[in-house]
Amino acid sequence: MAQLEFDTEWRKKEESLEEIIQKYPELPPISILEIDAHRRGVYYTDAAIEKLDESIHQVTEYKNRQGVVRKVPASLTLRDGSHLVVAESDTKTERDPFIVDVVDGKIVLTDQGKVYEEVSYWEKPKFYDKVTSRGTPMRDVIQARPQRYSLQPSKFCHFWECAKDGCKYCSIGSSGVKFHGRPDDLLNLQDVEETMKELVKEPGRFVGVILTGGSILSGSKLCEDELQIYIEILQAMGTVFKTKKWPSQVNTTALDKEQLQRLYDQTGLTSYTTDLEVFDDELYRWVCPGKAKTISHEEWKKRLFDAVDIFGRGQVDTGLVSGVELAKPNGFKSEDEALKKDFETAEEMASRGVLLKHDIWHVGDNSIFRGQLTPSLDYYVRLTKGLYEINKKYNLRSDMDSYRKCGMHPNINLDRI
Amino acid sequence: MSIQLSDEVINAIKDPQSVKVIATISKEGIPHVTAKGSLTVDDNGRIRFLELLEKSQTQKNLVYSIWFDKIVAVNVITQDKKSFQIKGKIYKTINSGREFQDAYVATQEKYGYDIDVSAIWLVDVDEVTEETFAARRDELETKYPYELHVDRLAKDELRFAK
Repeated sequence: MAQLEFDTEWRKKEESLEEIIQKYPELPPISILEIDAHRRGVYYTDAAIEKLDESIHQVTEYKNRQGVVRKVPASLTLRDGSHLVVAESDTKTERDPFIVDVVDGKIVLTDQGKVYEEVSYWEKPKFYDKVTSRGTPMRDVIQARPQRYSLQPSKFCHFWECAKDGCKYCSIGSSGVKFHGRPDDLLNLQDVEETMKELVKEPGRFVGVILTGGSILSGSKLCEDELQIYIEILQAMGTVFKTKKWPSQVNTTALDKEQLQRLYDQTGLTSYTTDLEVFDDELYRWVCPGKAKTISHEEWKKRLFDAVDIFGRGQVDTGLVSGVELAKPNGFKSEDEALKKDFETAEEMASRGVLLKHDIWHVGDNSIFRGQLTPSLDYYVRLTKGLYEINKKYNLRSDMDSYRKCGMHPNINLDRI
Repeated sequence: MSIQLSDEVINAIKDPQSVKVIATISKEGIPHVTAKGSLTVDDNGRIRFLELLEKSQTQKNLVYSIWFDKIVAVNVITQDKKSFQIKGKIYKTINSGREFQDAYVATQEKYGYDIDVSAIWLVDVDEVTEETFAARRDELETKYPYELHVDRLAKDELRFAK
């Protein structure tokens, strides 16, 4: 903890985890804990790191702010089988993170010395130790969470062609700039096919996949190259399945209706996501200037409605990076005001068959928004409850993006009961 | 505070001829009872069973139980009609990793490759009662000797007179 910097007074400025758990008895305490851990991040003690077995677990290596290289678990699974998707490298330091420690031989999530939950480390799939015939490590082709796998078709996001156009919260986009024009920006189809052949040999390992990467705006019309790349990868993946359709999701730039139809018809894809990111037009233009210049907020919404016509209700969702709507200086001035707008847009989307989700904002060190403060736990719980209730009101199924297939959407995780 | 199961109960649970059912409640408080052929006892003395269907009512109720600290009940009925009721709280569920995948493979090898497995569930045992009728009757009639129909106490020549 010595090397972490945070506002030591932050606990005095907002309601505590315990108070929030008491305040919302209708929500599972473990889910509120999960939201708070996503918000504040985690830090592993030496004892916790000693429990890491690289022959079994998924490991992340990163250099912290002090320049120290740390090898830590990729992330954690809770007792209820839900998966925290929070890497130590993402840990935000405006509030001190939860501490992963070892107590009575068990790996536990703690805060201020109190043990909250027993946790376990994510295990790696067998293909992680294999390479393709081209010599590519398969772990670089397909990434794993405990129950789902993912592919990143492109690392460079065209919205970062001009840095000021990048989405202000996005660390992935800024990190991806170095791949611009490099041969390893795009996935190789042979690598994909070979890795998929290994992946499906692991019984009981995966329940779904997501493909998502940087936006590709080029082509004979907007995003045509992006569409073609996704189609080719999905087709390469599909060679290992005996059914035309198989559990899958893409999260792309908002494609137009004709492109969506081709994506659906020519691949095994079953569900579609394109994230509005911010549920307010004016803030969208500030937070995501490149996107806004290319596809307006209204057009983005229209493309989501078009996707529902093709993929079906409950097979299309959209998300917001929850918290950026309160970023300074242009964000909403109060959490109440932000929630009001979030729910207004959420109603509009859900009433047209678009499932809602939110991803808790991680303030990345290399994002334009670095140094900002995320909202209170109370805000995130109210947002989670509100989106859950709106999805229920419109009878939207959420299994396309469930706790098994993602884990980062607290409102959808509540659908388990 | 969990308790240790007796050898008799462990043997009853592990006997493949025993009938094993689990009772859970939904978030609306509606009880739900299903057979659980996979139910056994693990090396730590916990009840362990598989839920095969991710979207089943039992699965939902088990998640509800772990989220809100609710009690689940198991009944084991042996071939010789002995019955044991076990109550406890969910310790954890396992839906990924080596332990889960081993269970998945074993289930498919036993029941066929079209069977899926959603999760392993582990229950800490808090209470065991023998629910065999004779045992329950002996216990309760000793404890409540006057909770009965009076004809049972009548003299035989009166009780069975035609």
